Amino acid sequence: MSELLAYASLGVRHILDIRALDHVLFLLALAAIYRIRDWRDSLWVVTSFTIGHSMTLALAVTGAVTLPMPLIEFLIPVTIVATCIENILVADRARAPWRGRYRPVLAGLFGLVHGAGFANYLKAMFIDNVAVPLLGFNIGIELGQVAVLLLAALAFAGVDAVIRVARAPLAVPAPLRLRVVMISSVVALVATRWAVERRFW
Amino acid sequence: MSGVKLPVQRAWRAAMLAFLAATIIGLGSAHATGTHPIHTTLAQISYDSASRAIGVSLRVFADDFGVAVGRHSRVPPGADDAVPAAAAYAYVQSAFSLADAAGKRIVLEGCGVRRAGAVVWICLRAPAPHRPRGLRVLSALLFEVHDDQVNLVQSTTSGRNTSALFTRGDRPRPLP
Repeated sequence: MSELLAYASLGVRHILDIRALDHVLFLLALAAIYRIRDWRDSLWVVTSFTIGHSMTLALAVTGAVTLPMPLIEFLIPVTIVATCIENILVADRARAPWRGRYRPVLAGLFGLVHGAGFANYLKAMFIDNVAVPLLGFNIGIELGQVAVLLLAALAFAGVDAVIRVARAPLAVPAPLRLRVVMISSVVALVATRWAVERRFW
Repeated sequence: MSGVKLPVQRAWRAAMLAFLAATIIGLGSAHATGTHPIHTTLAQISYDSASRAIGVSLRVFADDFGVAVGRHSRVPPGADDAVPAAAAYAYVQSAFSLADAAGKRIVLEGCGVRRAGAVVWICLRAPAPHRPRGLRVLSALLFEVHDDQVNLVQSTTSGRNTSALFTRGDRPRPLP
C-alpha cells in the first residue's frame, strides 16, 4: 500500500467510525435541508467543509497556528447547534439572504473549527513528515463524508416518503420542512449536551 | 372519514414516538461519545547498512500507551502517563513483532524511550548482517485499549516509503 493510500484509509476509517458522531452529526445537519435532486448543493457544502478543515489542519500541523484544544472541542458541537438553528429558522431558502447561498461559506468557516479537532493528533504523530499524511488523511475524510452523505440522502428520502404517506389527510407541514425540523432538533439536542459536557470554563 | 383518520393518527403517533425514541437514544449515546480522537500508532522500519541493523521507531500516544503498559505490567503508570522503560519494552515486544522470511521471530532490543509532548517514541533494534528480505510484521499495539485502533507501519527501502495498516484481528503481513 502506498503511503498516501494508507493515510487516506485512516481518514475514511476515522470519519465512518460510529464514534465519530460529532463529524457525522455535523454532516447530517448540513445535509438535512437537501433532497436527492439537490445533490450538487449538498456536495458543494460538504466540499467547502473539507476545504475549511483542510486549511486549519495544514496551518496547525505545520505549526503556523497553535490551537487550544479545550476551546476547539467546545466549539465543535457549537457549530453543529448553530447549523441546526439555521436549518430550523430559515423556512424558505428562496427568501433567505443571498437565497441561502451562504451555506458553503458557513460550512467552510465551521470546517475551520472541525479541522482543528484533527490537527493536534496528526501534529503530534507526524511532525517530521506532514505533507503526505495531511493530504492522504484529507482525501480519506472527503471520501468518508461523501459516503455518509449518500447514506443520509437515502435515509432522508425514506423519511420523506413516510411523512408524505402519513400526512395526506392532515394539515401538517411539507415533508421536507418537517424532516428538517425533526432531524435538526434531535441533532441540536445531542450537540447541546456535548457542548455543555465540553465547556472549558 | 374516521376510518381513514384513525390509521393516519396512529401512524403519526408512531412517528412521534419514533422521533422521541431517536431523541432519547441520541441523548443517551451522546454521553458515551463526545470527542473522537484518532487512535493510531506509527512504526517506521528501516535497515541501517552501516551498523548492519534493523531499526524500528515507534510513536504512540502517551496516555493510551500508559494504559496498555500498565495493564501488561500490572503496574499503573505514573504521573503524566510515565512508564518505566523496561515495562515499555516488555509491552512493545509482546504487541509488535517482526519475523524473517522463514517465519522466525526477530528479537528486537530496546534502544531508547523518549517522551515528546503527547507522544512517546520507542527505539528498537535487531542486528542483521545482511539486508533482510521477506520480513513479516504485525503491529498489534493498543488493540486492547481501543476497538478502533489503527496502526500504521512504514518501511523505507531505497528511499521509498511503503505502508501497511493494522486493525484488530489482523495477522502478520509481509512488508512490501
